[in-house]
Formats: sequence, C-alpha cells, structure tokens
Amino acid sequence: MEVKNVEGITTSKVDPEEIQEVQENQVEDSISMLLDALEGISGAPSEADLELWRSIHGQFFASSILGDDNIFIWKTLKRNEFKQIAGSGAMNDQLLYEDAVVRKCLLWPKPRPEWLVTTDAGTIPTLFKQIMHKSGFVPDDIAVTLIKPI
Amino acid sequence: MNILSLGEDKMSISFPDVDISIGGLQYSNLVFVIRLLTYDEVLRLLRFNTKSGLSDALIEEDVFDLVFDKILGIDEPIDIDDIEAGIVSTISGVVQAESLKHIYSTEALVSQYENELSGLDSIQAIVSRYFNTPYDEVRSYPVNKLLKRFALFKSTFPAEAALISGEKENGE
Repeated sequence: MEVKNVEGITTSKVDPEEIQEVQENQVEDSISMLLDALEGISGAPSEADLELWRSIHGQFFASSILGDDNIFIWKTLKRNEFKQIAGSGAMNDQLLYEDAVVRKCLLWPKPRPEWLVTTDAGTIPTLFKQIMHKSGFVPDDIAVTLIKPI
Repeated sequence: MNILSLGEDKMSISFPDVDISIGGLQYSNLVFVIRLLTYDEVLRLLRFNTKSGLSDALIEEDVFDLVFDKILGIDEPIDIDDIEAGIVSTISGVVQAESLKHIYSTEALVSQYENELSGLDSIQAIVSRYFNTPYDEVRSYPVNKLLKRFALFKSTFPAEAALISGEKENGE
C-alpha cells in the first residue's frame, strides 16, 4: 500500500535489486557522457578509472567552476573521513578544513600538494562547498524547513 | 513499520538534493524518522562546552543515536561511518535547534499547540481522566471506541459533562 497524502511521505517498500538495476543503467549513461566531456583533455581519467571509482565509492560527481572547461571529479565526504579531519584539528582553520576535505574527496585532478598551491584561489573553496552540499551538510536555516511533524 | 502509527512524538526530515549511500546503494529522497530531545537530554547537552571538532562530531553522533528511529522503506541497518558525513551533522543540528526552541520559547509553542487542538483531542483527554486510563493508551483507541467511551461518560455523568461544556464555552 502507498500513502501519498501524509506530509509527502510514502511507505512504499524500497526494492534494493530494482534500485541497483536502475542505478547501473544510469551510471553507464553518466560515464559515457563524462568520457565525451573529457575527450582530448591530457591526463584525463579513462573508462577503467571511472569504473574503478564507481566500484570503490558507489557514486561520484563531476562539476565545473563558472561553467568552464575545467572539470573536477569528486566523491562525497563519508562520516569516518569527516571524523578523521575533525580529529586532525583542521576544522579550527577554514582554509585547512577546505584543503583537507578536497584532498579526501577530489578524484581528478589528483589533489597533489603542488596542485593545491597552484590552482586558482577560488577553486578549493568552491569545490569544498559543492562536496559539502552533496555530502548532506544543509545550512541551519534550510534544515529547519526540512523537519516536519508526522 | 507503519507510518500511520508512528506516534505523536515523531518527526521526519528528508534531504531532497542528496543521494545517500546505504549498503553500497544510493537512495534519493530518503525520509528519516526522528524525535526531538527530552528536557533532561537538552539539559545534559547544554552542560557540554566542547572546543574540538572531534568532540563536536562525537556529540553529533550521540544525539543522532538518541533521536534516530528509522528510514522509511529501508529495513537495512545503517552504518553511520559509511554514509554521507553531513546527514548525521544536519539531523543532529536541527534536532538540537528545534529542541532548544521548545525550551526557550515555551509560551509561544504551547499557544501554537493549543491552537492546533481539535474537539477529538479534548475528548481523548476527558476519556483518559474519567476512565482512569493513561492518556497514551486512550490515544491508541479506534475512534468508535473513543466516542462510545465519551458517550458513556456523558450519559453517566451528565453534571460533569455539562460543567466541562460550560467551562469550554466560558473559556472561548
């Protein structure tokens, strides 16, 4: 049975096998689109790299900054990684925090030390915001609108 | 789990723009069933004055463990360490904020809850009192049983019923 009129909540059962099948089809489409976008870029990840990241991380994202040709591929921040960063003390300094999150999550280009210091100044803060957003960090004023009485 | 019998203490929170990893699969639009903190839990929480990011993260997880009930439609247990980091932080943060609002804006919220009450809510309270039955138990009565009990009360104790009715009218 499905209930649709209670605060937008549905009680329909989720079938993991069905989800897996749909997701596999979507991932194949996304990977081929991403490969098209990366075509001709020197050192860009191969299909095998993307498949490997998919098998390790489940999902990953591609984004650009200001819609230009620079593509960044990254994954979300997991809770255990968040605690590692918290334990390192990096959260006490916003710049260190942003660096630490991007180092954990950026898959391509590889976040090597030289890249971190030579990339455009706004790249890391912007990637940080994109990663945190997709990792479920919701600003307080928006989060309170998401909570509903049942 | 049945959403229609979750109880009045439960709330829901969803993340419309975030895919959440559980057991190697990604789910979108998941609905987390949670509760707010009790007064004692809020008081204990206020005693903590953490200075480190790790302590804050651990308190976030303690709050999440306390208040998290279920994810609708998902029976699989969730591995907190393996889900997106912000889910625990956001749920913990919003639960703390909403719970504190109830502590600091008591009058306004009582007034708001009062305005939301219906006649049936009052009937439940009356049946609870006159049948010496715990209120939470009365709330679980099917509506026919509730109204039969109320009718029995009215016909058995007409004077009290008239008094309550009069009090309500005077109060309005």
